[in-house]
Amino acid sequence: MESLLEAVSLLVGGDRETWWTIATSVRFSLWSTVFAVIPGVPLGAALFLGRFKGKRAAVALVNAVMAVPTVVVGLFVYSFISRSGPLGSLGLLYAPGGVVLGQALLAFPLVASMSYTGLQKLDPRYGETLLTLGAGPWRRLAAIIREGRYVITQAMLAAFGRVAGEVGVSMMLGGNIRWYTRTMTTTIALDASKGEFERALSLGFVLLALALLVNFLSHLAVRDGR
Amino acid sequence: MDAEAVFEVAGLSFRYERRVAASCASLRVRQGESVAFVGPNGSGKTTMLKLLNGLLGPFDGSISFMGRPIAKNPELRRRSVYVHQHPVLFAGTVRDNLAYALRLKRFGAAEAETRLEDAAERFGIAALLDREAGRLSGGETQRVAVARAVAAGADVLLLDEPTSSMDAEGDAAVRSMLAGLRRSGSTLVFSAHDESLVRELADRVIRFESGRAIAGPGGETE
Amino acid sequence: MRLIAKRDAFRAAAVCAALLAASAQAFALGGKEAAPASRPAPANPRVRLATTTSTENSGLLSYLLPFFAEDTGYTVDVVAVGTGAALKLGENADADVLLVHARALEDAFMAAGHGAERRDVMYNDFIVIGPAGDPAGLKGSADAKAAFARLAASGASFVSRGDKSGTHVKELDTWKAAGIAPSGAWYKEAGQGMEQCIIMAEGLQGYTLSDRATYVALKDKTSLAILFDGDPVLFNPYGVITVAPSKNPAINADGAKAFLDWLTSERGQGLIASFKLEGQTMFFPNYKP
Repeated sequence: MESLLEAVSLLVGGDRETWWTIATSVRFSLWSTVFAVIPGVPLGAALFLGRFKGKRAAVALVNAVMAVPTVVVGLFVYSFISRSGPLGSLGLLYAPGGVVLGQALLAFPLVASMSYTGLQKLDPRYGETLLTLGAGPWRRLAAIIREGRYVITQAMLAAFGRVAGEVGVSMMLGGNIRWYTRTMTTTIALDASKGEFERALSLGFVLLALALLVNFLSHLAVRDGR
Repeated sequence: MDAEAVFEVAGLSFRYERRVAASCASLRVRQGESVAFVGPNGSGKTTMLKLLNGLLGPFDGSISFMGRPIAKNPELRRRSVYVHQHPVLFAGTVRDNLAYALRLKRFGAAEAETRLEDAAERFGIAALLDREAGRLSGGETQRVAVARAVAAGADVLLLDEPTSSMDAEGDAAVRSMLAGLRRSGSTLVFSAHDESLVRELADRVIRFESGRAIAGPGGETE
Repeated sequence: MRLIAKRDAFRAAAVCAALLAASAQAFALGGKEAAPASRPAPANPRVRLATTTSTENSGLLSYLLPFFAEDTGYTVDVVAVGTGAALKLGENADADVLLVHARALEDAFMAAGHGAERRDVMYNDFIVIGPAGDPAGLKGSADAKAAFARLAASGASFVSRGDKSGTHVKELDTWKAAGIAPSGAWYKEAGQGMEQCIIMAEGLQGYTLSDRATYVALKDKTSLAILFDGDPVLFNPYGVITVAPSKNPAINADGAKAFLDWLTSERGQGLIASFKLEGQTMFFPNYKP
């Protein structure tokens, strides 16, 4: 209970660093979600619409990739964006760009997979009708995405949740640098590692509140009586 | 290849979840013909209709439309359409539905308007044009679905149980529509349970059993 | 023909805009103080320092770096990882300068040509902590290896860092000096940071080797007491190393050198000595030009 009270006082008290950390978490999570959704939703929709040999294998691959631990994803991306790596000159490592990139990679298969399975719940006649009337692939893709916007919003929320609460990639690629790449989750990890459990819990409550807020707002946005 | 052949099927086999959902050794449908698929539920009639319209795949064997394989065949979408048992109409009015189908085929504004009016007249739905598509009866929905496809140029129609679950009035209206299409030379391939419909409209009957197309009375499926 | 009402699309866009605006606003509420105009402004003001978690957690850097920024205009990005990782970062040119405490590894690093310059900076010391009752009876041991021998003999739980950190290396060296190869149920290799190991030792009511600063910082969270210290063998010397600029053009060589110079200057050394926890000096400057 003290943690809950401390959480409230952290927010209300307006400690500069806490506010900055919260803002950074929101910023990184939003951008990561955007970069995961932009390729992820069309991929999921394309998998849904497509009929080709090896479709099953492609879907299985997308699902399997989600089981990779975040630290491994972090290591993988690190090898690319390290100064000694091929993309080193982009200066992404230990900077916000690296965190957003790594988290987007984490969330991308999740978005694709959830869009894919979510679209299967839609009426197949809709896509078939478009196809039979001669709609081209891009039009069908756009139409199916619009038709499935509710399930796609679910996928986006799942992605946001995944990146907002993750620590492995943020630590590895961001370095938890104060005033630069330190987010709520990395702060929580740091506090927990220093034995400051109460403070870690308080921040955890803040994180939870944030996630709830985003969920609520998103459902408002796509409310259509379903 | 028979110049008059609209559809030509050879050695077709389509698997779905490890079992053969539809198979047909050979089938030929000619221009202006009216062919009925009959058989119990789940015997592969709907699957066959969808295959003919390129809505299902991949499959073994070959399906040709107008002498060319249906894969990447622009004629297929230009001239042929599949109509669901319970068709899906788009949000908006009946007019919106017809206009959208015409827009998909990229008709110019003037020609699209003409085609729209003609189709509405021909299918007796002129009075419904400004009605919300979601507020139509079964028979009306069926006619609108056919009208929007024909307005956009379809003359080869694949219909799945066109008069099922319809009231008497709807049934009569659809029968009359189909008869009219047949008279005007459209090619019809439809599945049906109703014997009287088959007798009234079909030149030829193909029987389906457990996914296989079997020779109809009178000999080969050709 | 629209399949989705325009208003839904607008609503979704509005929500996104609101969230981004809110986070931007929160940025404005927080953030560092702006730099005063009198401060020097180097061309590339960001220097990346790789150091160990125990160094960062001691609070020394949070204390020192504002002074450094004031004097030189450089902002130091501190990446705190394990000793091995810090050196790896130097090897990969992902850090500009290192501050670590593992002399043997530092020497190897320099020998391999990864570093441009190395200097001694300071030392802190390691202490053996354990339950106040001291079941292993190592209080008053003659030296570190004697204390460790008593530990092994008593069978009391001992938590080892187990992660090749400076602390771990020191621990292993001491076992070696005592002629003991620790193993058995009593010897727990945690593979975690110093704070977690102390917490674990607390839970087990066992012993562990810790650096003084971490223990002092954790004082009120643990009932463990200092049972042995003072043997010079347990001194923990720190080195600052600038990464060889030839490795990669992105390395901020000027900033790294500025940091190394400042840390070993009279000012830097003096500030290090003035850093206190619980009224005690934690780090003893020891640079000799």
